[in-house]
Amino acid sequence: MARNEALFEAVLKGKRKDVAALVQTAIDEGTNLESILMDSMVPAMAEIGDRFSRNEAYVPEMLIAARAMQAGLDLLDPLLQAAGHKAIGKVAIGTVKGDLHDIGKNLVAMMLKGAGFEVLDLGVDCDVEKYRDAVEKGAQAILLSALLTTTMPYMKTVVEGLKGSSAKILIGGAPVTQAYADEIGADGYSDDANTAVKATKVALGIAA
Amino acid sequence: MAVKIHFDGRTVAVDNGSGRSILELARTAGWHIEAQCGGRGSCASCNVMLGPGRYRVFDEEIEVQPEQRLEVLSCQAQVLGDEAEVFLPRASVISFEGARIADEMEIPEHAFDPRSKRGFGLAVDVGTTTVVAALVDLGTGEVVARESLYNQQILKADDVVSRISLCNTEGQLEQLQELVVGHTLNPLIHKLCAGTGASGCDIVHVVLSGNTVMMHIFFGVSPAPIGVIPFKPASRTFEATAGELRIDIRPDAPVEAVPAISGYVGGDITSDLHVSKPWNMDGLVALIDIGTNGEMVACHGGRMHACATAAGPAFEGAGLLHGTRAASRAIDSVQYDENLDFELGVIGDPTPMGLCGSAIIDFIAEGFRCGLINAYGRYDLDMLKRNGRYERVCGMHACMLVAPELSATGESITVTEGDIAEVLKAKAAIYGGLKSLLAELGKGVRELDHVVLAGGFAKHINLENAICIGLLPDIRIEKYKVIGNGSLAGAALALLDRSTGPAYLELIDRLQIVTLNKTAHFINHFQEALAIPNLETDDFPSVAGR
Repeated sequence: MARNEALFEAVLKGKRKDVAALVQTAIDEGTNLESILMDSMVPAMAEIGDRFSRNEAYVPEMLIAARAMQAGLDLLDPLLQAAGHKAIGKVAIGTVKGDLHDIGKNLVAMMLKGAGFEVLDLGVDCDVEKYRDAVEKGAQAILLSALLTTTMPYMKTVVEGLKGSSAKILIGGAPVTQAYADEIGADGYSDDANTAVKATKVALGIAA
Repeated sequence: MAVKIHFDGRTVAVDNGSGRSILELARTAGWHIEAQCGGRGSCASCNVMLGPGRYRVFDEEIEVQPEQRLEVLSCQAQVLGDEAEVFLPRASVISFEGARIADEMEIPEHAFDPRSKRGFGLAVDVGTTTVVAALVDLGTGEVVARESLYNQQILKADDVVSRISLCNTEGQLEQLQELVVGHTLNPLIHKLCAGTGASGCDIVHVVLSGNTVMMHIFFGVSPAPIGVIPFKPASRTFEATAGELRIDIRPDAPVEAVPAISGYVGGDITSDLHVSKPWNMDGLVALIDIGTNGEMVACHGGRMHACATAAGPAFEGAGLLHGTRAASRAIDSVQYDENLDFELGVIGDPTPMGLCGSAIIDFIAEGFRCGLINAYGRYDLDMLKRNGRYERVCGMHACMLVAPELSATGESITVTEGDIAEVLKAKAAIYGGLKSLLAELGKGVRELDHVVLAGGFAKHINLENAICIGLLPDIRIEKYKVIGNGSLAGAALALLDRSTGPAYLELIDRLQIVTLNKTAHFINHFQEALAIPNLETDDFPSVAGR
């Protein structure tokens, strides 16, 4: 199916109301649901992610686009699930125990959804149990976020707590570095929302 | 045989102690290097240029040949051997020269009833960045002198959270306490006394006002619990004697802190509230202190809700490529139109080195008005190129404000799109936070009858421009009241009127704390506020939409 240019542009420009209206029209017209998502919306998020990596877009624009994307997903998700749509992978994401920051985490979650993943959003202040539950629910990768130097050390606790499970663990957040990821034995690290998607794909062996 | 450190035309030779970073060597030489991340090697505020010598940088050994220069993070670099040359760029060195300090305060009408009418009292606003002290004659009730200094803790870490995490390391709490008492307050006291002829022994009472973390550290109590959920302080009240805290005044003089409301809404806000008394104003009132942590209180019909929002340091000029603190050589105001002929206001020395927070607000507001900057914070590249202002810096589109030959750094002073994005995130945290706080009271932003702006930053911003970028609510300018340093005034009031202390204790329990991230709408309000002025354009009817 061809790309719905108007929908692609609306996601890219973060026009939430337009996205909702265009998705609804496409649904009403009987357009293939997967095509709406994979041919128009996912490419729009990928485009904004690429622009971000090239310094041609910044976090505010990404968040605004993500917000518009979500408006479309709210309409599509239930229908896709009912139709038995298979996501490219299932991942869980949450801010670690002690930390309430979720703006960065939400952006990464949106970028993952935007790339076609099924995302379990565990919210904030997550203890090891919460992450373990997610693994039991089938999450192939667990993404940990921490925005404070005071809460970052909990990432190590999670990595140790999930030792022996099949899930890959990726970490990110303002104070987190590749060196820290290596030190605690995490499977991946990213310093922004776009490379987080790439790192998740690499960790799970999914073609980029 | 020594390490030569060069800055501003001067050279100081220091011995290379074992294992000391270049940042520490520079401090020995008398120059304080900015370490925004607390010396963890994760920001670039402490950059220096290495000249000939052998070094260890991160874990690598590096040799710099004569005539070569290598830019590195000074907190992660050590000199190997005894000889080396290091050059400090101006942007990395903290200068107090011409620092714009909010020491202006208005003390409201009050009863004159100090605990003792003999001697002097000391009111201190202990800020994360700046400490301001006022000497009060308890016989007359007059403020006889004021002095200010950067809180020397900035040498270790810039923001409150980095300082909390430092305190998790053995011995650091004591070092931070020594930096604020021994290296900040005591020198201030000596200056105040030298200027007025008073003696330290004449100071009989000290009241401190500041955020909760600063008060913990000042009194030597670990602020660690404030760093994690539920962000509960170890205590909201503190008192000790000057002798116990090693303050250079009468050892038996009582030292007390204005009590805090919560872990992130501190005694400085208690002071602001007591000084401005929003409950006596009609209708819906908000009190806002714009800073790295924006604290806000909404007051309506006797109910008060308070919150803090993480705005980050963009308004202090930090985190911007050519940002700088509001001190000498900082551009502090900008005016222009579509011809991009920038009219710059510069503090002190007219050769600028960077922009401070008030200037970046002006820059974005003017740019939005003339079409240089769109609602998402992106440049009209044609307009930049047409006017010879386009630069590409660090891979980003940038607008050149000052050409290299006119700047103090020898490089052009620019604003990148990345800088604008930082400011948009900061202002979205404040505006989104305020909107969510008011929503808890069932109110909208445009229903505000009064807005009280506390703190030093608000004193220097152009309110129309702050509204234009969507930082502050779009209500009539007359509804805004700027109170200056309410924290200092609150501390002074506690010296002058002994009924103030009990009033504070009663006040702090009247507020209900709102945790923004737990409210239903914060994320939404934050995202809407990322655009200029806002995606909800109904919130900003007076700002022409583009």
